[in-house]
Amino acid sequence: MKVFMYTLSTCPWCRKTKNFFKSNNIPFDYVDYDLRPEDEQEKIMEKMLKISGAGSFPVVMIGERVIVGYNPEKYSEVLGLKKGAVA
Amino acid sequence: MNAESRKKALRFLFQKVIDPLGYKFSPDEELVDFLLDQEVILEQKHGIPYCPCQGLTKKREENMKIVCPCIPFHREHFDAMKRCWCGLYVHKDVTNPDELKQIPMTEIKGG
Amino acid sequence: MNPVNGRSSWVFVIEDKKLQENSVNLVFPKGLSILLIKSAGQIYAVSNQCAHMGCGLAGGSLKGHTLQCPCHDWRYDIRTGEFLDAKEIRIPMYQWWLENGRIFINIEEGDRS
Repeated sequence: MKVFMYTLSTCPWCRKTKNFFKSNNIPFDYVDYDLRPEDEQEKIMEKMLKISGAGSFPVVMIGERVIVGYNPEKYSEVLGLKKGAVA
Repeated sequence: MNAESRKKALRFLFQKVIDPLGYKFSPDEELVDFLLDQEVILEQKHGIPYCPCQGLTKKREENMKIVCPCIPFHREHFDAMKRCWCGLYVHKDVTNPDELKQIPMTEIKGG
Repeated sequence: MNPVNGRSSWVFVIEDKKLQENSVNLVFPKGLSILLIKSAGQIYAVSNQCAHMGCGLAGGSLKGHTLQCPCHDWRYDIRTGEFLDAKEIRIPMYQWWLENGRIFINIEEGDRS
Protein backbone atom coordinates (compact mmCIF):
# COMPACT_ATOMS: atom_id res chain seq x y z
CA MET A 1 0.00 0.00 0.00
CA LYS A 2 1.28 3.41 -0.93
CA VAL A 3 1.89 5.72 2.01
CA PHE A 4 1.98 9.48 1.62
CA MET A 5 1.82 12.23 4.22
CA TYR A 6 1.56 15.97 4.57
CA THR A 7 3.71 17.19 7.42
CA LEU A 8 5.24 20.30 8.96
CA SER A 9 8.95 20.59 9.72
CA THR A 10 8.03 22.26 13.03
CA CYS A 11 5.57 19.67 14.31
CA PRO A 12 6.76 16.96 16.76
CA TRP A 13 3.81 14.67 15.93
CA CYS A 14 4.81 14.75 12.28
CA ARG A 15 8.28 13.58 13.31
CA LYS A 16 6.77 10.81 15.41
CA THR A 17 4.63 9.78 12.46
CA LYS A 18 7.62 9.56 10.15
CA ASN A 19 9.49 7.59 12.81
CA PHE A 20 6.61 5.13 13.12
CA PHE A 21 6.81 4.23 9.45
CA LYS A 22 10.61 4.15 9.47
CA SER A 23 10.67 1.88 12.52
CA ASN A 24 8.25 -0.51 10.87
CA ASN A 25 10.23 -0.49 7.63
CA ILE A 26 7.35 0.92 5.64
CA PRO A 27 8.45 3.21 2.82
CA PHE A 28 6.60 6.52 2.51
CA ASP A 29 6.67 9.83 0.71
CA TYR A 30 5.98 13.14 2.41
CA VAL A 31 5.74 16.85 1.77
CA ASP A 32 6.73 19.33 4.47
CA TYR A 33 4.02 21.94 3.87
CA ASP A 34 5.85 24.82 5.52
CA LEU A 35 8.93 24.32 3.35
CA ARG A 36 7.01 24.46 0.05
CA PRO A 37 6.38 27.59 -2.06
CA GLU A 38 3.16 29.52 -1.39
CA ASP A 39 1.29 28.47 -4.53
CA GLU A 40 1.88 24.81 -3.72
CA GLN A 41 0.84 25.39 -0.11
CA GLU A 42 -2.44 26.83 -1.31
CA LYS A 43 -3.24 23.67 -3.29
CA ILE A 44 -2.28 21.38 -0.41
CA MET A 45 -4.37 23.38 2.06
CA GLU A 46 -7.36 23.19 -0.25
CA LYS A 47 -7.06 19.40 -0.26
CA MET A 48 -6.59 19.27 3.51
CA LEU A 49 -9.64 21.42 4.17
CA LYS A 50 -11.70 19.04 2.06
CA ILE A 51 -10.36 16.07 3.99
CA SER A 52 -10.54 17.29 7.57
CA GLY A 53 -11.92 20.82 7.52
CA ALA A 54 -8.75 22.02 9.23
CA GLY A 55 -5.12 22.80 8.59
CA SER A 56 -3.91 20.41 11.28
CA PHE A 57 -0.89 18.20 10.60
CA PRO A 58 0.05 15.41 10.04
CA VAL A 59 -2.31 14.03 7.40
CA VAL A 60 -1.42 10.45 6.51
CA MET A 61 -2.74 8.66 3.46
CA ILE A 62 -2.42 4.89 3.45
CA GLY A 63 -3.84 3.61 0.19
CA GLU A 64 -7.33 5.08 0.07
CA ARG A 65 -7.52 5.75 3.80
CA VAL A 66 -6.81 9.17 5.26
CA ILE A 67 -5.80 9.55 8.89
CA VAL A 68 -5.46 12.98 10.46
CA GLY A 69 -3.15 13.25 13.44
CA TYR A 70 -0.51 10.99 14.99
CA ASN A 71 -2.34 7.74 15.59
CA PRO A 72 -0.06 4.66 15.55
CA GLU A 73 -2.93 2.32 16.47
CA LYS A 74 -4.90 3.40 13.43
CA TYR A 75 -1.86 3.26 11.14
CA SER A 76 -1.24 -0.31 12.33
CA GLU A 77 -4.85 -1.27 11.84
CA VAL A 78 -4.99 0.09 8.30
CA LEU A 79 -1.62 -1.43 7.43
CA GLY A 80 -2.67 -4.75 8.94
CA LEU A 81 0.33 -4.74 11.26
CA LYS A 82 0.34 -7.18 14.14
CA LYS A 83 -0.09 -5.89 17.65
CA GLY A 84 3.18 -4.77 19.07
CA ALA A 85 4.20 -2.78 16.02
CA VAL A 86 6.82 -0.25 16.94
CA ALA A 87 5.06 3.00 17.89
CA MET B 1 16.60 38.49 22.49
CA ASN B 2 18.12 35.04 22.67
CA ALA B 3 15.95 31.99 22.17
CA GLU B 4 16.09 30.74 25.75
CA SER B 5 14.94 34.03 27.26
CA ARG B 6 12.23 34.40 24.62
CA LYS B 7 10.98 30.90 25.47
CA LYS B 8 10.76 31.94 29.10
CA ALA B 9 8.90 35.10 28.11
CA LEU B 10 6.38 33.18 25.98
CA ARG B 11 5.83 30.73 28.83
CA PHE B 12 5.13 33.60 31.20
CA LEU B 13 2.76 35.36 28.80
CA PHE B 14 0.87 32.23 27.75
CA GLN B 15 0.46 30.90 31.28
CA LYS B 16 -1.73 33.92 32.05
CA VAL B 17 -3.91 33.18 29.03
CA ILE B 18 -4.39 29.43 29.47
CA ASP B 19 -4.98 29.42 33.23
CA PRO B 20 -8.46 31.00 33.17
CA LEU B 21 -9.37 28.63 30.32
CA GLY B 22 -8.71 25.56 32.49
CA TYR B 23 -5.48 24.53 30.79
CA LYS B 24 -1.85 24.13 31.90
CA PHE B 25 1.44 23.45 30.15
CA SER B 26 1.83 19.74 29.44
CA PRO B 27 3.76 17.79 32.09
CA ASP B 28 5.79 16.42 29.15
CA GLU B 29 8.64 18.90 29.57
CA GLU B 30 10.57 17.62 26.58
CA LEU B 31 7.58 18.22 24.30
CA VAL B 32 6.96 21.67 25.79
CA ASP B 33 10.59 22.60 25.29
CA PHE B 34 10.57 21.44 21.66
CA LEU B 35 7.32 23.25 20.84
CA LEU B 36 8.43 26.51 22.43
CA ASP B 37 11.69 26.24 20.46
CA GLN B 38 9.64 25.98 17.28
CA GLU B 39 7.45 28.92 18.28
CA VAL B 40 10.49 31.10 18.85
CA ILE B 41 11.75 30.15 15.38
CA LEU B 42 8.32 30.88 13.86
CA GLU B 43 8.20 34.19 15.70
CA GLN B 44 11.64 35.11 14.36
CA LYS B 45 10.48 34.26 10.85
CA HIS B 46 6.96 35.73 10.85
CA GLY B 47 6.96 38.08 13.84
CA ILE B 48 4.21 35.94 15.38
CA PRO B 49 4.45 32.75 17.50
CA TYR B 50 2.19 30.55 15.39
CA CYS B 51 1.17 27.01 16.26
CA PRO B 52 3.92 24.65 15.05
CA CYS B 53 1.35 21.93 14.22
CA GLN B 54 -1.05 23.86 12.00
CA GLY B 55 -0.45 25.27 8.55
CA LEU B 56 -0.31 28.96 7.70
CA THR B 57 -2.31 30.31 4.78
CA LYS B 58 -2.48 33.60 2.93
CA LYS B 59 -5.57 34.61 4.92
CA ARG B 60 -4.83 36.75 7.95
CA GLU B 61 -8.22 35.96 9.46
CA GLU B 62 -7.41 32.24 9.43
CA ASN B 63 -3.82 32.69 10.56
CA MET B 64 -4.90 34.70 13.60
CA LYS B 65 -6.81 31.64 14.80
CA ILE B 66 -3.58 29.64 15.07
CA VAL B 67 -1.48 32.09 17.05
CA CYS B 68 -0.44 30.38 20.27
CA PRO B 69 -2.31 29.87 22.57
CA CYS B 70 -5.08 29.23 20.04
CA ILE B 71 -7.39 27.51 22.56
CA PRO B 72 -10.09 30.26 22.42
CA PHE B 73 -10.61 29.62 18.70
CA HIS B 74 -10.76 25.81 18.93
CA ARG B 75 -12.36 25.40 22.33
CA GLU B 76 -14.87 22.67 21.51
CA HIS B 77 -12.27 20.60 19.67
CA PHE B 78 -9.52 20.95 22.29
CA ASP B 79 -11.87 20.44 25.24
CA ALA B 80 -12.97 17.15 23.66
CA MET B 81 -9.33 16.00 23.36
CA LYS B 82 -8.38 17.55 26.74
CA ARG B 83 -5.36 18.99 24.96
CA CYS B 84 -4.55 21.43 22.19
CA TRP B 85 -3.66 19.97 18.80
CA CYS B 86 0.08 20.28 19.52
CA GLY B 87 -0.20 18.94 23.03
CA LEU B 88 1.57 22.01 24.41
CA TYR B 89 -1.44 22.60 26.66
CA VAL B 90 -3.58 20.05 28.45
CA HIS B 91 -6.57 20.27 30.78
CA LYS B 92 -5.48 21.00 34.35
CA ASP B 93 -6.55 17.54 35.58
CA VAL B 94 -4.37 15.67 33.08
CA THR B 95 -1.42 13.84 34.65
CA ASN B 96 -0.48 11.50 31.81
CA PRO B 97 -0.50 13.39 28.50
CA ASP B 98 0.54 10.24 26.60
CA GLU B 99 -2.99 8.94 27.01
CA LEU B 100 -4.43 11.85 25.04
CA LYS B 101 -4.85 11.42 21.30
CA GLN B 102 -4.97 13.79 18.38
CA ILE B 103 -8.53 13.47 17.11
CA PRO B 104 -9.65 15.51 14.11
CA MET B 105 -12.69 17.70 14.68
CA THR B 106 -14.62 15.83 12.00
CA GLU B 107 -14.46 12.64 14.11
CA ILE B 108 -15.46 14.43 17.28
CA LYS B 109 -18.50 15.99 15.64
CA GLY B 110 -19.42 12.66 14.08
CA GLY B 111 -19.48 11.24 17.62
CA MET C 1 -20.37 61.45 46.94
CA ASN C 2 -17.28 62.72 45.23
CA PRO C 3 -14.76 59.88 45.44
CA VAL C 4 -11.86 61.95 44.21
CA ASN C 5 -11.38 64.25 47.21
CA GLY C 6 -8.37 63.35 49.23
CA ARG C 7 -7.89 59.99 47.55
CA SER C 8 -4.45 59.57 46.05
CA SER C 9 -5.50 56.71 43.75
CA TRP C 10 -7.71 59.13 41.77
CA VAL C 11 -5.72 60.96 39.12
CA PHE C 12 -6.77 63.68 36.68
CA VAL C 13 -6.20 62.46 33.11
CA ILE C 14 -7.97 64.57 30.48
CA GLU C 15 -10.61 67.22 29.95
CA ASP C 16 -13.96 65.81 28.89
CA LYS C 17 -14.22 68.13 25.89
CA LYS C 18 -11.05 66.59 24.45
CA LEU C 19 -12.62 63.12 24.36
CA GLN C 20 -14.01 62.51 20.92
CA GLU C 21 -16.87 60.12 20.33
CA ASN C 22 -15.71 56.71 19.06
CA SER C 23 -12.03 57.42 19.38
CA VAL C 24 -9.44 55.74 21.54
CA ASN C 25 -7.56 58.06 23.88
CA LEU C 26 -4.39 56.89 25.56
CA VAL C 27 -3.65 58.36 28.98
CA PHE C 28 -0.88 57.66 31.46
CA PRO C 29 -2.02 58.33 35.05
CA LYS C 30 1.05 57.82 37.22
CA GLY C 31 2.70 55.84 34.46
CA LEU C 32 -0.16 53.38 33.90
CA SER C 33 -1.27 52.93 30.31
CA ILE C 34 -5.07 53.32 30.13
CA LEU C 35 -7.52 53.87 27.29
CA LEU C 36 -10.42 56.27 27.60
CA ILE C 37 -13.12 55.63 25.06
CA LYS C 38 -16.35 57.52 24.56
CA SER C 39 -18.94 55.44 22.79
CA ALA C 40 -22.65 56.33 22.42
CA GLY C 41 -22.08 59.12 24.92
CA GLN C 42 -20.75 56.78 27.59
CA ILE C 43 -17.14 56.79 28.81
CA TYR C 44 -15.16 53.58 29.33
CA ALA C 45 -11.69 53.21 30.86
CA VAL C 46 -9.82 50.00 30.08
CA SER C 47 -6.24 48.81 30.21
CA ASN C 48 -4.17 49.45 27.10
CA GLN C 49 -2.56 46.02 27.37
CA CYS C 50 -3.87 43.06 25.38
CA ALA C 51 -4.33 39.97 27.58
CA HIS C 52 -2.63 37.82 24.95
CA MET C 53 0.91 39.15 24.59
CA GLY C 54 0.67 42.61 26.08
CA CYS C 55 0.39 44.54 22.82
CA GLY C 56 -0.84 48.13 23.08
CA LEU C 57 -4.54 48.23 22.20
CA ALA C 58 -4.38 51.97 21.47
CA GLY C 59 -3.30 51.22 17.90
CA GLY C 60 -6.21 48.87 17.37
CA SER C 61 -9.54 49.46 15.72
CA LEU C 62 -12.80 50.35 17.42
CA LYS C 63 -16.14 49.28 15.99
CA GLY C 64 -19.12 49.98 18.20
CA HIS C 65 -18.16 48.55 21.58
CA THR C 66 -15.56 46.18 20.14
CA LEU C 67 -11.88 47.03 20.35
CA GLN C 68 -9.57 44.87 18.23
CA CYS C 69 -5.88 44.46 19.06
CA PRO C 70 -3.57 45.41 16.19
CA CYS C 71 -1.17 42.53 16.85
CA HIS C 72 -3.24 39.34 16.55
CA ASP C 73 -6.81 40.68 16.27
CA TRP C 74 -8.00 39.71 19.76
CA ARG C 75 -11.32 41.51 20.27
CA TYR C 76 -12.64 42.99 23.51
CA ASP C 77 -15.96 44.42 24.66
CA ILE C 78 -15.01 47.80 26.11
CA ARG C 79 -18.13 47.76 28.34
CA THR C 80 -16.94 44.73 30.28
CA GLY C 81 -13.29 44.23 29.32
CA GLU C 82 -14.18 40.71 28.16
CA PHE C 83 -12.28 38.97 25.38
CA LEU C 84 -15.01 38.05 22.90
CA ASP C 85 -13.72 34.57 22.06
CA ALA C 86 -13.29 33.46 25.70
CA LYS C 87 -15.08 35.50 28.33
CA GLU C 88 -12.94 34.07 31.13
CA ILE C 89 -10.20 36.34 29.84
CA ARG C 90 -10.56 40.08 30.34
CA ILE C 91 -8.56 43.24 30.37
CA PRO C 92 -8.72 45.37 33.53
CA MET C 93 -11.27 48.19 33.71
CA TYR C 94 -10.89 51.35 35.72
CA GLN C 95 -13.37 53.63 37.52
CA TRP C 96 -13.62 57.18 36.25
CA TRP C 97 -15.18 60.35 37.61
CA LEU C 98 -16.21 63.50 35.76
CA GLU C 99 -16.07 66.77 37.64
CA ASN C 100 -16.20 70.30 36.21
CA GLY C 101 -15.36 68.95 32.77
CA ARG C 102 -12.33 67.09 34.09
CA ILE C 103 -12.01 63.31 34.02
CA PHE C 104 -10.32 61.47 36.85
CA ILE C 105 -9.35 57.79 36.89
CA ASN C 106 -8.98 55.51 39.87
CA ILE C 107 -5.71 53.77 39.12
CA GLU C 108 -6.64 50.92 41.42
CA GLU C 109 -8.34 48.38 39.17
CA GLY C 110 -12.07 48.16 39.67
CA ASP C 111 -15.08 46.43 38.22
CA ARG C 112 -17.07 49.54 37.44
CA SER C 113 -16.47 52.09 34.73
